Amino acid sequence: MLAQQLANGLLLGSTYALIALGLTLVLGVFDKLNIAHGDVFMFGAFAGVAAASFGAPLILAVIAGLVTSAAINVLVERSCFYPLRNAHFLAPMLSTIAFGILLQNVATQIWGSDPSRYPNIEAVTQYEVGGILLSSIHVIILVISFSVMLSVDIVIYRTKLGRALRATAIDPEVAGLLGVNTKNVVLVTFLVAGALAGIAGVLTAVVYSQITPLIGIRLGLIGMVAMVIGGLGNLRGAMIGGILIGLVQVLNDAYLDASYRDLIVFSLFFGFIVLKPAGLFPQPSGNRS
Amino acid sequence: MSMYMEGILTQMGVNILMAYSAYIILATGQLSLGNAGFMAIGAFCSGYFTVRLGMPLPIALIIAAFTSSAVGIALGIPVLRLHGFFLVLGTLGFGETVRAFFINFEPTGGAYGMRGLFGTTFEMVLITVFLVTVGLWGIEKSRIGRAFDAIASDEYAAQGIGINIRAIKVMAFGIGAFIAGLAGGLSAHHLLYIEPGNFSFLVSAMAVLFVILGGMQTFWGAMLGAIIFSLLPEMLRFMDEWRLSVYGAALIILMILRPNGLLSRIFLRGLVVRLKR
Amino acid sequence: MSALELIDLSKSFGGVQAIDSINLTIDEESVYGLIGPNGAGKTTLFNVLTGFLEPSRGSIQFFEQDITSFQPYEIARLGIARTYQNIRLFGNMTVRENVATAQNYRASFGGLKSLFWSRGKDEAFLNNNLEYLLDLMGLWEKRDLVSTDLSYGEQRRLEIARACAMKPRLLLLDEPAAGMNEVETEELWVRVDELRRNGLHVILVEHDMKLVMERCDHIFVLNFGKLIAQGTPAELRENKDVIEAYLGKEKD
Repeated sequence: MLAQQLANGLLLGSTYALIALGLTLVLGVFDKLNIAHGDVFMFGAFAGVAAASFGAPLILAVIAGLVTSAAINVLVERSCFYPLRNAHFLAPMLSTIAFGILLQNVATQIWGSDPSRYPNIEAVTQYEVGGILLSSIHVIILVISFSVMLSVDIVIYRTKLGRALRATAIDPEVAGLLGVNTKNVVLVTFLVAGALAGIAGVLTAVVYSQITPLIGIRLGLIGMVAMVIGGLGNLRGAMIGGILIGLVQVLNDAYLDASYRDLIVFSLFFGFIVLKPAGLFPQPSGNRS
Repeated sequence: MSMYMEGILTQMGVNILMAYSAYIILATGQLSLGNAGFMAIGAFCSGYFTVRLGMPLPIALIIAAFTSSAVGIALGIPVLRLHGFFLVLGTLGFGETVRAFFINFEPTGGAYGMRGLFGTTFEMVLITVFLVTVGLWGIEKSRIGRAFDAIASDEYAAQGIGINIRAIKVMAFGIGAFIAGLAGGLSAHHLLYIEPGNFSFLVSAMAVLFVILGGMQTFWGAMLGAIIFSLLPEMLRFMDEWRLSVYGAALIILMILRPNGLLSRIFLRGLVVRLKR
Repeated sequence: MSALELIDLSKSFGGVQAIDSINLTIDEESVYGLIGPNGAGKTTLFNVLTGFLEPSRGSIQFFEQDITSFQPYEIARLGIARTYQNIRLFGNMTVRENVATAQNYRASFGGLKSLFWSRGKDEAFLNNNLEYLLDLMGLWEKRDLVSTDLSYGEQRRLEIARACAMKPRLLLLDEPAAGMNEVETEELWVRVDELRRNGLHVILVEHDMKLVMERCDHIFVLNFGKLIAQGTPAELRENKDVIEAYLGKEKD
């Protein structure tokens, strides 16, 4: 029973982790908070559902969500962050709230406010491993999300691009002097963050089978919770934070009452910010104030 | 006045109050994205007093506003240590925690909310907005208002001339929560039915957007922002179902064109000088 | 009664002793110079004195009151005013408002009364002092300009006017002449001297050795956080430690 819950929590948490990862990338590299991130996620989910309803297999649906969200996130950068790069730090953040409102309403116009369903996936096999029941689709989702997390981790910490990203995160000016094209770095960051949100969106749609234009608000908030618990700006921390929240939620639903879910998650969030703002894994090299 | 007009104007009044509550906190250089939480406290508290205890609405409103204010002061003490994104996220977390709390709070109906709230009249909203506006005007003219300005400009130098910045910031949270509590109570008794979902993060965010777009240097800016952006969706009615999308796009464009808001203090000063001539 | 007494005052950051066991006393109303090479701990000392940094050890007595653990605003209200090395004016206010704001907190904070005591009344009540200060600092003509529109030298003078609006008993000036030319520096000196004659203790951090040696009545020399010498300019000219540690190098 507990093992099964942990497996479910891992599944849920892995999608949260992907959302938190994207938020953290933008905040870490760029020092900006994208509040529309959850809505970018939502758009990806709808794009995936739309692709699947045309008969696309899961992997193509994921790619559809990835591309859509990545493109929208670049649009967010171009319309909310770039024009306001010299304004007060709150200005772009508030602008993304407006962008979120825009995305929610456009999605409502295109797909309606009723829940949309991800088409049933055929040829699902159930596996039983040591008493844990997993469907093949769940296994695929776990494989996708964990391999995405692993590759982001490798790219950030092992490659030249990752070095450029981290250098920009620590000091954009110095990074520029060292020959990093910071403009491209910002663009890549938003692309990758959007892509991660899109993947998470499609996977969420598959697991929960239904989505609405307003799910992004809650999921975006959950991503922020994961980001804070993991330590603002810490990528690995964000992933762990996401998985932890997934576990907390599933365990709450199993052993307490589903209605306490938000209360527990957001009290944790608030508690962390007030009592331990650095999170579980403080970012050592960060330039946060 | 038609019911339709009265509905719009009442909503506008509530929006002005919410903008004020965001403004007074912004005036000390802080930001709260959790004012929907204070609004929820005002709404459910006053609702409980009128529906369950049969209290008259004005008294219920005042008690609810003071309750909200007490919570605001209690919140202000821990969060005023936070800066930048931590403050943004902390207040956001607070708002969501309050919402989640009311989902599980049975005396006010839990997730299903409360019914049978009524009594908000247009006159009542008008008087409240008027009194709060006068109050804010008084604060802006007082030494406290000047202390607000000093803190917003440079916290370090403000302390250096003897301003107790912690006390002033907590006070700002208390006042902001009081005003949001009033807004919540009035709105609840206008809507007849409330549920925790009414007080989502978007409500807090809109309150701040009103201020930023109207101009955050003076409370007149907050009022202007709330008026324009309460009327805009109505003016966009001809666009039918696309109006809210256009509304979102309009907010983004305005943000790009006037990142510091429509009304600035320098503009107001200039206006006064020109009028005096 | 001594105005200021530092007893074994120390401040360390990590392992670095920014201020190391300083003992000093200030009695008479005169101008004290605080000198020392870069990184000697001068600004740190100011920050500790005004409560922005908490000392690691030792105590600060201000007119025989222990203010060691006081908050910056409490220290300011007791009568220690300061200016900042990087000018910190209220950029959203005019020149006059900058000074008027500082006048509000000299006495204890008025609590509820302050809510009803309008800015207008404040200004009428305190206007004499305000006019005097702005005039003294040569800013009366510019009183309605937004403070950020002033020139660099004017901004430094406004900071001094703002500090004096608190009617302090001790004024700390952090490099008041930085960025000023010789004429401006001379004018500044005349003004500071008049302030002192009004009954004020002044401590100033200054790099301009000529100014310090000519104008200060008493000089404290810091090096690596330690007080290595003190005395009148004449005494210090004879002091070998000072010449070696500091003055000798300066004269190269």
